[in-house]
Amino acid sequence: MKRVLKYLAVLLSLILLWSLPAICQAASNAGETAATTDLGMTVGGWAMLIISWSAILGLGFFCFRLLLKTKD
Amino acid sequence: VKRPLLQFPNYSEQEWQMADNNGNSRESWGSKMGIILAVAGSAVGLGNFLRFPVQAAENGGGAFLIPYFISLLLLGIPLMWIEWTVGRYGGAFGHGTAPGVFQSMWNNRLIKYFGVIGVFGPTVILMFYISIESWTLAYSYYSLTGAYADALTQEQMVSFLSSYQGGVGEGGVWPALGFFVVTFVVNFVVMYYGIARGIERFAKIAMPLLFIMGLVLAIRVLTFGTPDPLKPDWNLVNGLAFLWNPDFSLLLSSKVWLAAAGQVFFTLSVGIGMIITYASYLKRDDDVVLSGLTAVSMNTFAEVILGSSIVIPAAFIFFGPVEIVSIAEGGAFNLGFVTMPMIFNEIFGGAFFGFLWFSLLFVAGITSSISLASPAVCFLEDEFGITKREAVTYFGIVCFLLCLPSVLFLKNGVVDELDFWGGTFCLVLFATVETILFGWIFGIDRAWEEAHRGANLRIPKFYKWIIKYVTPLFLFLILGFWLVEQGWNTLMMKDVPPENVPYIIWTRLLLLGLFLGLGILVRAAWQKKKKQDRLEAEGLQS
Repeated sequence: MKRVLKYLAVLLSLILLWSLPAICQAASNAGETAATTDLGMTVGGWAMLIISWSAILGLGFFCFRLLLKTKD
Repeated sequence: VKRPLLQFPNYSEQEWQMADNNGNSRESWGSKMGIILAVAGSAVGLGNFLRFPVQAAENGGGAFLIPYFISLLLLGIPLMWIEWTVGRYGGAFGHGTAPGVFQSMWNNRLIKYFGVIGVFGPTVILMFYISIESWTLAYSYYSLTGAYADALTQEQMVSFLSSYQGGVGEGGVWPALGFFVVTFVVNFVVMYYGIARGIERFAKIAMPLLFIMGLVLAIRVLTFGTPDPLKPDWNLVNGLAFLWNPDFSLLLSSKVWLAAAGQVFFTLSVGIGMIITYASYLKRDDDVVLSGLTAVSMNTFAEVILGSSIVIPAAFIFFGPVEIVSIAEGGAFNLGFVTMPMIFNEIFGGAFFGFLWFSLLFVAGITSSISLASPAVCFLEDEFGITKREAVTYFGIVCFLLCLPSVLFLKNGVVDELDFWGGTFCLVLFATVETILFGWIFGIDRAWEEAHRGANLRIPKFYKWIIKYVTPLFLFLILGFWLVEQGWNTLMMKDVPPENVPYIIWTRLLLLGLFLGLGILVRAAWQKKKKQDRLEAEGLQS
């Protein structure tokens, strides 16, 4: 159960990370016409953003979790 | 008797005990989190928020992150572990700077002179860094007073910055000098209180504050949306796209790989001796592996997550897809001190967010400059047996005089020259030799054992191979490419305007004098110790 929750948390974090800019954009543009552009993020752009942010957050989580486990 | 080429100090248990006692008589960090925050503070600087996004945007966007992470794994993290280990090892012998630390690793009478770079380099960077840091303090103040609120165009904002830097504005050179003095005093007051009560206590307040300010600014930028409905393309997603959309074709360019390696190298504060000094205040069995990795993770978080979420997306949203290219090409300082204030002039609560932005840079800067001053103070304290407060006072007086050229002659290229020697040349050279000393002369097996003393985490075994072969090779490549592409031209002053040549020559003479002066101090300190040892031996005999 604990493991399932852990995987779920990781999955949710990834989804949140993926959609964060879009959520922010939608929140701040509420009521406005959607942006018509061909400049938008490519799949590669999203992939690089998500992979790098997840890797950094994962490393930070790993380090701090281990630090908290060890006595000061 | 012919001395062997490589002579290692093989200490007995009794000698280790003596070393421990000697090391224990030095100050130490109050907590593990204290040193991690101090080292992270040393690493997180202006470059995280200004240099990284510009480098990424100019070198392939999201694709830049591939060489960036590879460099982090092969260069940044190993160097971080090396410096923490070397520093803690030297600290046990009562040495907190490279001359003494290197000597304790290798019984070679010349290595201590090479170690001078570990004191010289940070001091040279400090000579201009405090001055730049003082601009951020000035701009924090100006944000609140609305001093730049009338500068609505890029030209007007550049003129505002130039008049402040060049001392041609209202009040002449005095505002710049005044903010410099305040910044300088804050730095040295923190140092005056020592490691646990000064630097550690400051880092424990400054670092969380820095992350909170960074997060608030990032959230503000991420909620900018599309401020001008008439320009729907000037929006957040496109701003992120400008930075993150990868151009994988650029991965074939050596320039991109060098830029990524350089960014990792410069951002972590490794290869110049500051971390050695901080780690020398660790106890012999304190962990260095996990602590070093945590400091790396905090720095990378500040750089990649916060750094990429503020300046470039904000500049894109307010200046659009065409102008952002020239803004990014204008460089990091242009982005931070010209573009960002213009954005703050446009938004609601701009004075507050402007204050927050420049305060963020100020806090990032001050935690770095304190670490830059630490090796020189520690050197005086350890090698001449004076108190921390005396060392801070003496170094403060000398440093104040050394910093003045960068405040008074900024427009004459003095800062670029100092950056070349302290921030680039010494950095790469010192890191290369330090890595070879650690992996080859001290020996990778001993080094491995030393790194794992008291460790809370095992380093993966393949890092033994990386530290011994890959990291030095990587550094040689950086050194070689850098010498070919930039080093020679800078050395020969090829890009220096003729009117600035005398200033550059004087700066070089000043640096030469500083280096020789430090070399003489090293010699004097070792002779003094030799004399003391002889007197003690004679005392014991009689």
